[in-house]
This record gives sequence, structure tokens and C-alpha cells, in this order.
Amino acid sequence: MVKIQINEDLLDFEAPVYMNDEYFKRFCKKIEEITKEEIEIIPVIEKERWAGIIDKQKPRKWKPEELLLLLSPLEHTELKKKLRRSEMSLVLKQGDFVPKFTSWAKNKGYSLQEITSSIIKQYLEESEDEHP
Amino acid sequence: MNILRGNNLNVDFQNPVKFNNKQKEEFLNFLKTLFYVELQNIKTFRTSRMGDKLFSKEWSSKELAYIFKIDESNEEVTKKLGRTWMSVVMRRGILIPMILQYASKKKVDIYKVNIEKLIEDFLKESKEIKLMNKLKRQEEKLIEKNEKQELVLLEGEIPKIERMVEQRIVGFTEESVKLKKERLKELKNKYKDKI
Repeated sequence: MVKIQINEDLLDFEAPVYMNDEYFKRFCKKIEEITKEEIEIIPVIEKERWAGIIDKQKPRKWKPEELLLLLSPLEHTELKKKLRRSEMSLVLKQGDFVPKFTSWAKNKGYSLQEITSSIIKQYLEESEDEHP
Repeated sequence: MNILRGNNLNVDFQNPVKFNNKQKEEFLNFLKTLFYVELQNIKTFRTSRMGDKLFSKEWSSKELAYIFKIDESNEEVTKKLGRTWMSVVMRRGILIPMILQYASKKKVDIYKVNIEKLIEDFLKESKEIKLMNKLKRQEEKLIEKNEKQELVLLEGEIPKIERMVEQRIVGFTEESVKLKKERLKELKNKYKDKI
């Protein structure tokens, strides 16, 4: 959600907004079009919330059997015990892997009962998911 | 006009932008083609800009419903919400077990069910504010744990890197030591009462 703050004819973002390069180009082009002003892009080093997390994560490779567990309705506390991984690594992997896999499996027409580690292996082979 | 572009692909205005009514309408219509947009009338604008501090954006219930759609790719979600990949993955990683547990309790197949309907039912059944607070607490707890680990690592790492800089080993610069020291100071300040 992008919140735009308005006060009469002034307008601002509530907070910085993430834009990939394609969106950013379109955004700048549109502003130039609207304002007829030239835009100067100023590079900024952001304060990073995740810096330490990203730098310090040295993940072990995920096996299909482990990924299968991420699809199960288990709490993180149980998953941590079973997989011997940190909660942060579980959260990041679940947040990344589950949507990609679910979308793939739905497109393939699989049902819940059919999902096994060999299906996950097939997914990993077909997708470019590097599953670190 | 100056636009700030961050190293993590965030974008900010250097100052609030002045638009006439027509321009404003055109700009907002354009933004709506890229993102979910919400308008807010305010009295004063923020003075801090990207790079000055860490910005955290509250998650709205609309966003919550959207990230619950576990068959929607993270790339799509980050684009639509204007949030970084990392923040989306973190939030989704915390939410996903909840929706998987709910689906299992209801004995529905997440690969066959209409996800939107499932989410709607889940949100109806759970108290939304409680859920949002729970998510926020879990995420903060997780970040705190990691930052404390980072703090300990930095304390051990900085003297080693300083020695490598002294020995002029390639890849280790005074700038990198400075950045690490700044980060250490920031973390020490944040957790001074908790360590």
C-alpha cells in the first residue's frame, strides 16, 4: 500500500516506496511529463533494517523433504525442532518458497494429497529456484 | 525536481511536490496503475528523508489480505505494495503457517480452494487487530534476536577487520570498518537497556 499525504497543493509519500527499475523509469517519465520539469536523480544510501540479517545468513541447502515440511500446518517452534534451523531462516524460506510452490502446483493441477518430496524435486528442477 | 533513489531501490521525494489540481489528478491516477494507493490529508509533512533514518510502514488490513494470497508471487506483491522483497517475505513467512493451519483445520486443499474466499473466512474468524498485533510482535521479536546476534558478531569482527586494513589486505578498507562501527554503535544504543 502506498500512502500519499496531501496538504492542499503539496503532495508527498508517507515513507519511501520500493520501485523496481521498470517502475522507477515509468515513474520519472510520468513526473517529467506532468510537471515539464527535468528530474535529477540523487543516489542515496539507505538505512537498512535487514543489513545484518542478510549479511549473516549463511544458509544450508534446503532438501525437498525439508521443503515439504514447510508446506505442513506446523508451528515454527515445531519446525525449528524438526529441521534444526533458526526461526529467521524458516520465516524467510517459508515466505519465499511457499507462494512460488503453491502457484506452480496449482497451475499443474496437483491436489494436497499428491504433494510429496518428489513433486517438490520436480518443482526445483523445473524452476530456477536455487533453494539455498 | 530532485528524486532520491536508494541503494535498495526505494524512492523518495527530496521535498513534498507541488502540483495543481490537474497535475495531482493525473499523478494519482498514474500511481494507481502501479500500486494500491491510499490518500491521507495531513497538516505537516515529514522532515526526514530517505537515508536520514529507518522508515517503517504500518501494514494495513487490505495489504494483509493481499499477502495472504499464497499463490501470488513475491515479485508481484512487492511491486503492487511498494515494499521491499525482504519485508514482504518476512511478513509472509510469519503469516503462512497461520493460513496453512487454518486450511488444515477446515480440511481444505490449498491447491484447489479459492484462496480469496479462504482468506476472507480466516480474517472474519480471527480478530483482525489482534492478528496484526501478533504479527508485529513476532516480527519485532525476530528482528531483535537477529540484531543482538549481529551486535555480538560485530564486536568480534571489527578488531579483526581493523588488523586486516592495517596489513593492507585487499578487500578490507577503512570505509568498511567505519560502516561496521556505525552499525555497532546504532545497535548498542538500541539495546543498551536490554544487554
